[in-house]
Amino acid sequence: MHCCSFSRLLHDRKLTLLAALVLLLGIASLVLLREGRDQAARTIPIGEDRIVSWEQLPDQLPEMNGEMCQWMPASASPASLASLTFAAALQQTPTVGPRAVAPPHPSAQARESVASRKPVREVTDPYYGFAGIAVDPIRDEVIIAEENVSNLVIYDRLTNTPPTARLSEPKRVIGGDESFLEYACSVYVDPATGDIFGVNNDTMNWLPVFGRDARGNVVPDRKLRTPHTTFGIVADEEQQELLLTIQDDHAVIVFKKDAKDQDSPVRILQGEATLMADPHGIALDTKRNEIFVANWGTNNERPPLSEGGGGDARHERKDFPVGRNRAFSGSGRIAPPSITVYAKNAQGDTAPLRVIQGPKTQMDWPTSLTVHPERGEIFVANDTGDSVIVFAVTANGDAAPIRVIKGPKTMVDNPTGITIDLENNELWVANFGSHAATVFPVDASGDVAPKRVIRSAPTGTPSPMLSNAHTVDLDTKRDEILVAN
Amino acid sequence: MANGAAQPTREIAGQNTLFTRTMHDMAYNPVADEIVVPQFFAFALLTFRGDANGNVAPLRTIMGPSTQLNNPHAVSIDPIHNEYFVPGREEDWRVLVYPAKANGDIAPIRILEVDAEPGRVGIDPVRNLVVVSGGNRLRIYDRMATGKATPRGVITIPPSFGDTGTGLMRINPDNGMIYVGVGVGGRHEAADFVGVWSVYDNGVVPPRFTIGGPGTILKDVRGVAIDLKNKSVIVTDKTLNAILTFNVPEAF
Repeated sequence: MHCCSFSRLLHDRKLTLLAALVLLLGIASLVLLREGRDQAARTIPIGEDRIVSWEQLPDQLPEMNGEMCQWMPASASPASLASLTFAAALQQTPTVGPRAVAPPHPSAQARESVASRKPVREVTDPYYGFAGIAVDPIRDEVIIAEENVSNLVIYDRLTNTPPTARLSEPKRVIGGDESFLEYACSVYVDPATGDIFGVNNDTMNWLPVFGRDARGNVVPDRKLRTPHTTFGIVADEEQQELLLTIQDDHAVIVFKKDAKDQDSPVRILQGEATLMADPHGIALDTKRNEIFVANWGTNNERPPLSEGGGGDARHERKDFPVGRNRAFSGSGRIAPPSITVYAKNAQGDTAPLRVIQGPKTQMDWPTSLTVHPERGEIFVANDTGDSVIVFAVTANGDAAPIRVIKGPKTMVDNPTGITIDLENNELWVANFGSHAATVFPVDASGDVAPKRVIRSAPTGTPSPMLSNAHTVDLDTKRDEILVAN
Repeated sequence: MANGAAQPTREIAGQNTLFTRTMHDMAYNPVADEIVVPQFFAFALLTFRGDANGNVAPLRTIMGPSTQLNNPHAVSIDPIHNEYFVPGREEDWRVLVYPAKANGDIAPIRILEVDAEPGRVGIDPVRNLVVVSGGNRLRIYDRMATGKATPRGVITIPPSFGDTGTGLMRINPDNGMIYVGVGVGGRHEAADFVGVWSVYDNGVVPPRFTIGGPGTILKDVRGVAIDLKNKSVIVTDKTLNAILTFNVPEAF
């Protein structure tokens, strides 16, 4: 065929195609506009179903030369274009269109074949993901709550993984289905006995307590029923009390330290005046008798504690904080992160003594806290800030940190646990993002290398950052898997 | 195609995101190229750009007294009709529906009342159906159902599968197959699975396929996604703390 004739034919075909498409899209736009006017949003059926099949182009397309312009009809509404995008995004192979009836049940052989099939890919972290941390200077151990597969891992306090070493093995590990550990986020060690208190953040509403020699998949010596979403833990050794933060309830709940089973708390700090909002870490200043609570910033309203507690619906407990099941609809609030300070024996709906909050604070998911009473300093594991920020215990308002530990030399990477060894004047940081626990002098500042490192994985091993993985979805535009943690 | 100890290609995290720990749900909207996340402390629905990365603020936030949101821990998207579906939690046996493009303190445009605590919601925008999980059942409603509507069908998992609970799900718009995470018993036994049913099923019906179990690998199944292009089902498991991809063309 002559080139000009071909071009004319092609042009004519283009026009025909354009006319057909304009007609189709015009109809579609009218339908969609009609739907837009009808705020009852009733579906306007287009035939039987809304997405129809389309023909796959042959693998070998005939070569088409000539200028091709992207056609954009003036009448095409964003909605109709979006629908086309959606169809493309679905990436469906050609079919005869959505079926109107259920397909037949497969054979038993086919079912068995699918049921026993192994995954073709598995994204998982084979190494411990360090989350919460406690140090036992008396027994020279460091105890780390790891969130990857929910263990407590115990290392020698002076372990220092050489740069050339693959990793350091713990002295012992506690975990398994007998241990009542799930999503282990925080840990406390009793200085007198060496007992280890593990905190489960989600799905497991028990706080297990293990003897110092426990190892493996063991039953805890005792366990205490706690409200859902317990996160932070600190003990007041003078009063023999255990103080816990509850995310769901925006509260601090206090038990006797030896409480077990369904024992009642001795007091609760909860209510509007407390300004607690998604509390995480908690620390005790034994010199000034104050407690510090790190808040991520979101909360909601519910009846006052004075009207009675009433735990969450999973385990009705009138002696627990007012649960989420009693929250008022639409009452959510968003505030900047904060550290709220109270007298250590505060209870009920008590306002904080001080509030550290504002842009100068550099707080970015402040997750764990610890206090050095003699230095009069609060240390904050600033998760997404990849930093440790330090404040004076007397700080109030929009205060800037007095020191910041941050930078590539520090290996501080998504820190979620922090503690101080007062005997040896060392600051310990658990870094969820780098499989590392890092040890610094308490006065460390800036981009400084840690004095010791415990690594659970080879240097540079990526962390999938999975922790209590929930929903998964597929970003079809970027061919990425999205996971909510 | 991530595998093993893969580093995330991007992370949406940090103070500006308004997230808390353990976001229980999220959904990608392929039409609008957006991600929606329910925030169960702030009683909010946060919508982000599809390519969001880092410590970024949401594009839009549905939040306030008119929304009636209460502990929203789940959300599903109807990308064709541009709607968000939010199941209630615990004593709140409702499904609230919002325009996906809404912002601020807006009332739900529909409220579906169901006869049990809703687990999660799946949308079939092709057949105009809403599937609500919860307990050992999948309740199937018209997409536009409102008030105390009668389900078009109720799929009940046979007792032979044990003490089952249905959770997160996706629906294949091509053939109306439902892929739903089914928990069985505790969190340490490999008893869970992803069950596959049809939206046309009704009554006590065994799954057409079970993926990842029971008795194979899944211990505490959570999220389910479907990859239509590769005919794969992608699953998250809390106990394994893993993302697993099963290639199951038979189930597509």
